[in-house]
Amino acid sequence: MSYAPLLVIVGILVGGAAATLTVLFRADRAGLFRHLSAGATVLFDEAEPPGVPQDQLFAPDATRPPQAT
Amino acid sequence: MTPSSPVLPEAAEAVLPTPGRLTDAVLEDVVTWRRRVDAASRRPVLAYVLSGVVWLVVGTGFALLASFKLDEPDWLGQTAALTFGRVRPAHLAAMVYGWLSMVDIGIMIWLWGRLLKTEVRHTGVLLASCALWNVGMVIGIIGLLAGASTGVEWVEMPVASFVCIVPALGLVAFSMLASLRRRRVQHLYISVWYLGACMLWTPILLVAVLLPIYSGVPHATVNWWFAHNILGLWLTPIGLASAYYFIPKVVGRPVYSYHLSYLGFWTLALFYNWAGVHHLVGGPAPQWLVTVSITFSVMMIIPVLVVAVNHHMTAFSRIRRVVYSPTLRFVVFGAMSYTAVSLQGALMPFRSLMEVTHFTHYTIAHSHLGMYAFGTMIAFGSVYYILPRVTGWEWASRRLIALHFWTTGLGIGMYVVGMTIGGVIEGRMMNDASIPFLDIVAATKPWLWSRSVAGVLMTVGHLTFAYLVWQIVRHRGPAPTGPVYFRTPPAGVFGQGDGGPVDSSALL
Amino acid sequence: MLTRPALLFLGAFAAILMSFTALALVPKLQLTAIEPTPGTEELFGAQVRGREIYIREGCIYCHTQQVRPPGYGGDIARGWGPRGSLPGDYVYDRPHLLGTMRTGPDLRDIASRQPSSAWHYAHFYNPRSVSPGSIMPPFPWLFTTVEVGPGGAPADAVALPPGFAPPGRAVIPTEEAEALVAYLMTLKLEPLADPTATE
Repeated sequence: MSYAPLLVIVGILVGGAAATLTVLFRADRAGLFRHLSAGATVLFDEAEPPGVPQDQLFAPDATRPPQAT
Repeated sequence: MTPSSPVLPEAAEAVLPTPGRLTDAVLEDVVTWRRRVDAASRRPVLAYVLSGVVWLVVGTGFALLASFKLDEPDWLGQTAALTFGRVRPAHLAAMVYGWLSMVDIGIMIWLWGRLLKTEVRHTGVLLASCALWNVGMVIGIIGLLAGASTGVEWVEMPVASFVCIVPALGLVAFSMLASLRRRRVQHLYISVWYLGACMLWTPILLVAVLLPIYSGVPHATVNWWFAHNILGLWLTPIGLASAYYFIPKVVGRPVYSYHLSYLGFWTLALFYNWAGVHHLVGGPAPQWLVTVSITFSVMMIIPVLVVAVNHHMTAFSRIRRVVYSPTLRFVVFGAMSYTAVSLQGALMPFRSLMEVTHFTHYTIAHSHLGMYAFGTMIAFGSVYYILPRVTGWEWASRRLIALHFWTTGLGIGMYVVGMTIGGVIEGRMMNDASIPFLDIVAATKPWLWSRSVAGVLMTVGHLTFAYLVWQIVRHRGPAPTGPVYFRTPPAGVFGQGDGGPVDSSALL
Repeated sequence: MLTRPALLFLGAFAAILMSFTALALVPKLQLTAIEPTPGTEELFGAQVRGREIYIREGCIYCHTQQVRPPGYGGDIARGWGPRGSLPGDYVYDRPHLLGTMRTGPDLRDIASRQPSSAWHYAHFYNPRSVSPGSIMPPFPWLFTTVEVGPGGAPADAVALPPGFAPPGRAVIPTEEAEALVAYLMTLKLEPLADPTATE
């Protein structure tokens, strides 16, 4: 029984793990892991702050859609 | 995780229009960027969503046919085109490539515009891709009923059909890439990651499995690498992307532990891929390959728990809202089902368990828990949010939405429970060599009947949904005065000016 | 310096490339060098046609073609094969028909278990004629019927229990039915001379 395919698989896994760890280290050094949670509030803004969904039609104060073409 | 001030520098910057597509008119009301983005995506979104709903009804018809035929095998037994062995792949193709893929693309197009805060580009190309995809589906379904199956599970439709679908997917990717380059956000929200990645993965998957270079056991490993990944790298990311958007949106809170979601994405990307060969446990595939797949299947617990923490902790902060919001109710149902089916999937492939459940109806229950309770229910919830915003109208009847929810929710619950129990019984009997095979068949019959009953329930839900979609697209029904909720929420729950105190008796 | 989306796409692409290599390419490279097991032969003539019909009618949705190893599941105890299936059994299978559901029994060794073509014809015409309680669909379009004349039914008529053939008619297998049975007769698992060769 040939162990070559198993070695290829293990090689891929070890190589992949090494590449992943390298990328993670480099990313950390590039400062990509700071302020990670800032992205969570991209869905909200001045007009639609967290807590009070405004993205609706037909409520008395909702913004109307432009006339459908 | 609520920030003390709702205005962050990043968010304010994102709202300012850049010169180009948006006209000066938007400067007078910055809030309408959402309306303009929705208006731009209107036609492709409607094309894909409506196509999806048509295939949902078609696929439901095939589902009932297939299920009834296992209860009454001689029913319509003279017609070759309707034999179980042809209707079953037609059902799978209509549901996977017709309903779920197409409605998910519609959802994806809409989300893309919202997440990148820009109008979707090349809507003409998107419309052409939808037409091409539908042509592919018609060729495929007719081909299957006529007997032209490739014989490879999950890609049974004739190759001519995929010759339409894969380029259509490419056209969608082209449009999305063009929109990505014109984005008006600094930060790519986690949903963008899932959607972008799945658009990259799916054409690769389809082309790889359709290459005519395989035979024998390697063909089986490719087959199940593909089939498992079409779930985890195509349909799952879109479902997760939707949940990551709609749960925070409707609940009004940012995702609970957002930095965890990056971990969730990358562990999905790196682990899910490898799990496919667990479909061949006990089979002739090389055993170390099967073991590798089992290992990665178990490691999938990591992304599943990440997603569970994020979705459930975000939703549970305002869980009362599922009483009011159709979107939230369907999406939370779907998100909880995702956790359930993925934990089940992570713990299922152990050889000792698979010895019982492999080759039984248990597997079918598991796949429907994923495709339906997770994928389809989240798609329903997403459509309930999106369609008013692209049609400029509202849903015709809260009661019909409630009917839709209860029939489909109870239906899939019954389906999964019935087929799980039936499958375990089937598997245990099968491992006892002293039990004649026909006795096993007899033991599963009541559970197959329960599946047919569940299927009828779900059909009622689907027809109701199709009717509601038709009504809103045609602007039928009473003139809208506000968003449609199951019950009138108290003031302040969803923006200002929403009705008075809750009166649960009068409104359902 | 790579921009964020480019990094994302590159990482995703690398992820899928790794798994495709491991789960698809490596098995293919390893297993194409494998020898067919004794008794595994290329199909020819009607057998090929029969395999196409097997695919056309969707038999894989209820029948597997893989025998699990001894001691795992009850396959060998049930008499579904003399040994577990090996990769060398499937060398000529294109596409593979391993199957995933056992609403009906495994068929990898059906030719040993049920070599009677008369039984198979009756079973295909209406499964309940020979397997009471079966939920397998009938395949009447693989047959034609002829009027039963004063000389009685033709010699090649399918032997059916009373009540299953249309009244006054005899059921004759077409070429398609014959091809399908010819294919089933190739589904045979030879025991290996050296049992320790199983992987």
